Amino acid sequence: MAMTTVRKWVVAFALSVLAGSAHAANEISFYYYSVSPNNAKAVEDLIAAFEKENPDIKVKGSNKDYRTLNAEIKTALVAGNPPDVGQILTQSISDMVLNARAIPLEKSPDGAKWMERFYPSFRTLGQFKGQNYLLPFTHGVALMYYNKSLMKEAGLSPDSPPANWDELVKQAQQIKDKTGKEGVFAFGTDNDWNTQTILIAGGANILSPEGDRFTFADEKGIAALQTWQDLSKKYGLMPSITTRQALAAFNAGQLGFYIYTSAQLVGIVNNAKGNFDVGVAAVPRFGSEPLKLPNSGSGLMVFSQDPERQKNAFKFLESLSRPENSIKMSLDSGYMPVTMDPMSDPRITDFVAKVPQYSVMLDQMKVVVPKPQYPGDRAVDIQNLMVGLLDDLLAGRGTAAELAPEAQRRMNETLGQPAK
Amino acid sequence: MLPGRQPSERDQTMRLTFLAPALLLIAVFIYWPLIYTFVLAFHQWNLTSSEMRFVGLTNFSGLLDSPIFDAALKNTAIYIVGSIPLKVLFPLFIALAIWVVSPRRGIVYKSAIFLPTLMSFVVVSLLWMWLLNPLVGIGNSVMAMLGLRLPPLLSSPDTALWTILAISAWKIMGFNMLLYLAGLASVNRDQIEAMRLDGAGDVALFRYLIWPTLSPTTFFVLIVTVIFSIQQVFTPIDILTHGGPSNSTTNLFYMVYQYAFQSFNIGYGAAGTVLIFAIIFVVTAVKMRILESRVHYQ
Repeated sequence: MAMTTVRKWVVAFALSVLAGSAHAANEISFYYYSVSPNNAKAVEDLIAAFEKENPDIKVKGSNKDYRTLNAEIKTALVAGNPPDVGQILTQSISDMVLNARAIPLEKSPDGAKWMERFYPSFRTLGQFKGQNYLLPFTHGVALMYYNKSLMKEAGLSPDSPPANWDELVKQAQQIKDKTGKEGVFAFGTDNDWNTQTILIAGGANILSPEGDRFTFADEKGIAALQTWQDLSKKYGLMPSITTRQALAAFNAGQLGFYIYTSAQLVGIVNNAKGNFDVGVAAVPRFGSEPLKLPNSGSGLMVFSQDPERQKNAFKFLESLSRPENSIKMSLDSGYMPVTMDPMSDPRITDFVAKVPQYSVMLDQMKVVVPKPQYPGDRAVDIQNLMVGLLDDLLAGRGTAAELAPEAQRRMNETLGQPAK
Repeated sequence: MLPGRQPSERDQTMRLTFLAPALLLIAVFIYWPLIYTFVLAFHQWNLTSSEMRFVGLTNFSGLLDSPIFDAALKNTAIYIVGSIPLKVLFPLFIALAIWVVSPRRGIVYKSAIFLPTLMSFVVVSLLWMWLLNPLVGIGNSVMAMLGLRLPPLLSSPDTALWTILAISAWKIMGFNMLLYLAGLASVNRDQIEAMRLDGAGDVALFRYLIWPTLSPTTFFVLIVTVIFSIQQVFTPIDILTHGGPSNSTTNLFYMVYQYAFQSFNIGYGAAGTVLIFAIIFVVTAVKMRILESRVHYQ
């Protein structure tokens, strides 16, 4: 009797293990991040649509902090359980190929023909050593959001937002003096894209033409960084707060100008409804330098090492590559539409009629240049040094002329010390 | 087995049998990782590669030369020294204040002060992040009513570390207070009455009776606080400042995390861990040698 009971338990346990593994085989583990609730909702919608179309496959999405997402993928890989798909910032591609065994998209059973649905320059962003590793997913561009109501209150014309940094200083000062609110928050110290944007917009070349060493600490790079530091240290117009706090302040009508990624466009516009008039404009130019801006954001990489799981992962990527899905991601957030010929889609023109601020983002796509990929396998260290440079400038540890060359030296030194 | 009887062989076997599960767990989860960390400290490895190269003391020299180490070491010292008044002495005075009020009122105070201890440190950190938002936080609203402005406490390298220290003290204060109250329960009330009859005032009472009675508790709180001051601030550092601005809030523990699990420079991370182990070992040994002679066990 006792033996029968034991046998029943063993059979039940074995069945449950088998059932569990069968379920796991048809599951796609997906690590992603979002910089606003709208983005998270858009991803959840896309997952739900995929699951509806593929009822036998379950997508287990995990919304992560983008700063630790790469590390989580690597540790999961070491534990033998990497996510099947992960959302990776473009500057980390080489790091994730070299250190996290990312799978080239060409390994897809259909040869990843669906990559041709994307605009060629976005496809190029995801290439490493001639192979495609990154499906274009969420690429933004820097925009300047401004509170029209505060501008009016300060005696400024809401139709003439600042076109360059001198005008930004004047208008932010006027807002501060006349309304008592904060003037401006332009590029925080939360990630290296901010540093890249300031440098590229200022006309500096972050990497040498060969792409093997950093060269940003030249005259133009130092001038751009100094202009940014002056906003806080010389004029006292940029409060020392985090990007998250700045967004909250802008949404609460406490901040005149907020310069950050277009990924927050839809969220900001929706939030401002009924509270204040929000305007969106191009990032102010540095002097007479023609405006160039690096793309922000990321794409999707495959990390599953098991061929069966890879098939499902590629199926998921194929679904996300469809124009209707990539356009949905753009309309729900403010990221750039990455598909071929997006303007032919009536949903874009309809959306522009409803949310005219979205057209500013579309205009800015013309000035976007590819965000540089860091060479070697020390991308995380380089990112930390890039962020540290802005941190040190904001903390007043020196001028741009003092800090930028030293940061550049340390980055080049790091490139010469591979992690393996 | 009763005290005084010689243990038989069977007793020895029983002892080992009962100890085995605990010893096995400690060996697998404490000693083996400890030994392996020492091994890793002498190797260059990125965790995902199958290649691990012996580099001798290079990780230690590289770590000691890195600017983040200087900042982490200095900040760790500040976290430890700053913790003593905030986390060791302040809860003692709160415990004394509660000890002298009526038990009914005491329960109310105890509950209110102990509450933050029950909250997750993640929740506590997020809570303070929003309270201290210099533009739209409640702290700013309160300051505005007084005609003042809340400075950016967490974004300034001059104040961020002290803010994290204060938040961690607020979180741990109730726990340490409870330890002191447990210690105060063993103070002999008859002795207090006798001392009062002899004309002893509050200061004399504290100096000659309460302080000696509480010395084992104080010693325990001190050791735990020093260790916690290195480890426990990890969560607020990670959530509130990520070690910044300009490495002004990082400590040795967070530096190890940054090297090992952000940069995946496992050798540096392991070398940092070995240094922390050595520091805590030395500090605890010194404290035990110096302070234990002054602790009065009943």
